[in-house]
Amino acid sequence: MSYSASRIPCTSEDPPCIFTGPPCIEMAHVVCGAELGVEGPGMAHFVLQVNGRERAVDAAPEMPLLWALRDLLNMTGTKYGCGIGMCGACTVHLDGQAVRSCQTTVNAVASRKVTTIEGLSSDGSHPVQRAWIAEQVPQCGYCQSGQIMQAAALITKTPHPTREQINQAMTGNICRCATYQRIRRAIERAAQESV
Amino acid sequence: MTTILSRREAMKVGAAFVLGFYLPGHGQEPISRNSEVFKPNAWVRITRDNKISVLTEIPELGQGTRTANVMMLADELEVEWSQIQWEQAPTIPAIYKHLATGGSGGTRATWLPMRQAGAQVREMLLTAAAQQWGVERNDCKAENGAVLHTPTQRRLLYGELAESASTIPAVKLDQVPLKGPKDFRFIGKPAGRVDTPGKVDGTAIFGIDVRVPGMLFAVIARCPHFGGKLISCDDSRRESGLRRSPHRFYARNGRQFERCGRHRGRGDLHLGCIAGPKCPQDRLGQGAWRARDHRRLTRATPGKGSRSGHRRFRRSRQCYPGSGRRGKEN
Repeated sequence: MSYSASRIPCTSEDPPCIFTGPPCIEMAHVVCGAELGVEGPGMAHFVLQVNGRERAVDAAPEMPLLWALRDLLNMTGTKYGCGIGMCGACTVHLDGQAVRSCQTTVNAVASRKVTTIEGLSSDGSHPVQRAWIAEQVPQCGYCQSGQIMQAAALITKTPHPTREQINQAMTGNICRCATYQRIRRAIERAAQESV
Repeated sequence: MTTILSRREAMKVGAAFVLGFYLPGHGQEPISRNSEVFKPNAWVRITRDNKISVLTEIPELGQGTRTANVMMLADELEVEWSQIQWEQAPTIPAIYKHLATGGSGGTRATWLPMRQAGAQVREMLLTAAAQQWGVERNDCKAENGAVLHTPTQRRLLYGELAESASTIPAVKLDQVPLKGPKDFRFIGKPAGRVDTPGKVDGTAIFGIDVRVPGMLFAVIARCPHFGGKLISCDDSRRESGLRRSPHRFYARNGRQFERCGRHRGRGDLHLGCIAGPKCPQDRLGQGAWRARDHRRLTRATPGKGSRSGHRRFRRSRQCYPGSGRRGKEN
């Protein structure tokens, strides 16, 4: 079983990371203090383009974008679900493409444009957001930031997606409340209304 | 004695975790922070410019309880649906008795309290209006966020009455007259969820999003090797600024990982452990710690309950991948 493929091993050397073996699948967050954003060796200065603004962070290069957004920039709209790219709750846009922020390091982001749920529209008026309210999609709402970001990327790329294309695009976004039917209806609505 | 946690007990535990579940209104400054505000009771806030806000107690976990609570109160208060805002009530258990959710009891438990809270304020506003006009109270009627003097068709908005109503003594909650079901305007009728806007623009605050001053971000350090045991703990990082506030931290994963005995009772952050033979400083042994730590997680105070029961509960959970139940210990 190779479950460590998607994980970022800790590379902190001073103090050396105590975890030397293959990363455990349960290490959903980060394993080392350097990745927590605390001061220490291995830290670097990054200027991220988040929602049209330049945001400076000091982080270990291998810190996932998710934690840079949530813990360093205090933008908690993007949610942590599984940490291994399996659930889609942490989906953000990188240059308009939907990516899993838990699998994208700040180093890899570099100067590319990051859009989070907070920056999708200034007032909740994005067609997908409006459709989400019209269809009353969220139940608990935890996965919905990721669902909306995934759907928004789909609508941008494919303004009139077929049902099959919707299923295809949304298949990586899990909703524990099982709001899938409403999500699909909302995407269809958004596609109609954004004409 | 029960040998495993009942669902209801588990619910109670769950409830403890969600107390901080706070969803602010859709990007708005909570009305209750404004000092120029009429606070007739713990649940209603009215500003002079006729903004009306409900403080709801039950945390919203997706079942629509918050929306139901707003409906109950708005129905008795006689306001427009579009006029009413909501906020999560602060975590003050002495005032708010329903700050937890679980067991499908939220709406039921608040059915009377929320309606009584709304009715109490409505009665105060009616009295205030009658005094202001110098008319019979029975000729006054509350509707759509205003008091109407039926014979003369005079109207005063709740916001205009807020100041004078704050001097009116409140009727006791259990003595306020309540509406009959035939007069319900919101209860039992379809309505959009009040918390949806915050859930589509990222402003909704979930438990994991709560930030408090000086907050520590804890990381569970788990053994990277299957079946490994603790041999030592490294707390040197504590000095490097990793730990900023005294939080007890447990690094555990079934038998793979044990809390270090050296830190017992000191509330130290316990982060560095390596795989190898059992920690020599853990005098109590793994089984005992497993039971004890679990009890700490499920109850506020250790020392009560069935140790073997908890052990069995732990064991029942150790079938998950990576949880590392191996060998014949316990």
